[in-house]
Amino acid sequence: MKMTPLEFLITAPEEVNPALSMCRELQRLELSGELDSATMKEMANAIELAISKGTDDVRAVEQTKEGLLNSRSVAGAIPMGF
Amino acid sequence: MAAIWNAKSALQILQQCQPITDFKSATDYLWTKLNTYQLLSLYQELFPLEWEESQSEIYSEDESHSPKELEFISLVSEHLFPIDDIIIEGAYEERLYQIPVSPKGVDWQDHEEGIDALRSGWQILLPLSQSGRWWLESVAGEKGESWYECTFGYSLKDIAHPEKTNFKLLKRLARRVAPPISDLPTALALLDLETGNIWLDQSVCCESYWNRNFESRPWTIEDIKFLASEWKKAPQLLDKACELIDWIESDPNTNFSHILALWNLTLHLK
Repeated sequence: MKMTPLEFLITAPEEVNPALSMCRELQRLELSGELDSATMKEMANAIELAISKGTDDVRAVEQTKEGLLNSRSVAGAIPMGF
Repeated sequence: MAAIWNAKSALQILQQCQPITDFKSATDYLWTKLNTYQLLSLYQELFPLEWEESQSEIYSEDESHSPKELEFISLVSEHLFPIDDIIIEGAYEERLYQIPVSPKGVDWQDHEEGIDALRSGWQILLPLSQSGRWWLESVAGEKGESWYECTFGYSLKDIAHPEKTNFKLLKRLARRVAPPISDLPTALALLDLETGNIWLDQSVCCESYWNRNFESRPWTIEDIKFLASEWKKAPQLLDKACELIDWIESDPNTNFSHILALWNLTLHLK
C-alpha cells in the first residue's frame, strides 16, 4: 500500500542531528575529565565524521522540506456541509 | 586532561559546555574542538617532556587558541619548522586551522619589488632560468632586455634560451666541476621554484600579508614530519645557492663568463 507523505513523516525515525549529538558527547567527556591523548585522537576522527553526517542530514531535511512545500494539495476527505 | 583543580578550572570547563541548539553553532563548536584536540594530542606526542612540565591553561576564554595550544605552535616553530612571527602573533586572535607553509625560497616573481628584491648575483642568472627569461622577454618586454644589457653588459641574444638547454646534461656536467659552479642547477631551480622542496617552491600572490595565499597543510603527525624533514633540507639548498651568488658577485664579469661557458657546453654536446 502506498504511504501518504504525512504517514511517511509520522513513521520516519526521530533522531538528533549527529553534529549536535557529538557536541553533547564532547561536553560530557570534558566535564568528566575523560579526555586523554588517545581519546582526543579518537574524538578528532569522530568529530570529522559527525560534521559530515550532520551536513548530509541538514541537506536531506532541506530537500524533504522543499519537496513537501512544492507538492500538490490533495483532498483527503470532504468537509462536513459540502 | 580536564582535572578540576580549583574553582577557576571548574569555571573554565563549564564555559566550554554552553548549550548548543542549532546546527551552525554545533559545527562551529566542533571545528574548534577538532583543532584543539589535534594540537593538544600532537603536543603530547611530539613534545612529551614539555607537555609534562607545562603549567599553561588548556582552555581559552573565547574561541581562540588556549595558552597550551599557543605553546605548542611556538615549540613547532622553534624545533621543527618556521612559522612566521606575524602568524604566531595572529594566532592569539584567530585560530590556525591548518599549518601555514610560508615561502622561504627566492620568491621574486610575485614580490612587490620584483627583480629589484634580488641581489645582483641572482639578477645576472635570470636569462638562464625559465621564469627569469620569460620575465625579461615577456613581462618587461624590450625594457627587460635593455635593462639586462645595460646592467650586466650581455645581450640576451648571446645567451642560449633555457628552452634549448638540456637540464639533465647541465646537472651531469655541473657535478663534474668544482663548487660553487656545481650549484648552478640548484640556483636555477630556486629561481624557477622547481627545487621539489615545499618551502622553496612557493610564490605568493598578495595584496597584503594577511591576504596571502599560503600553502597550508592539515595538523597531522604525517604532515608535521614531512614539513620538518623538508625544512631540514631547505637551508642546505639555500646555502649552496648563496655560495654561488657570493662567488658571482665577487667578480661578476669573470665568474659569469665561467658559468656561460658551462651553459654553452650543454648546447655543443647535444
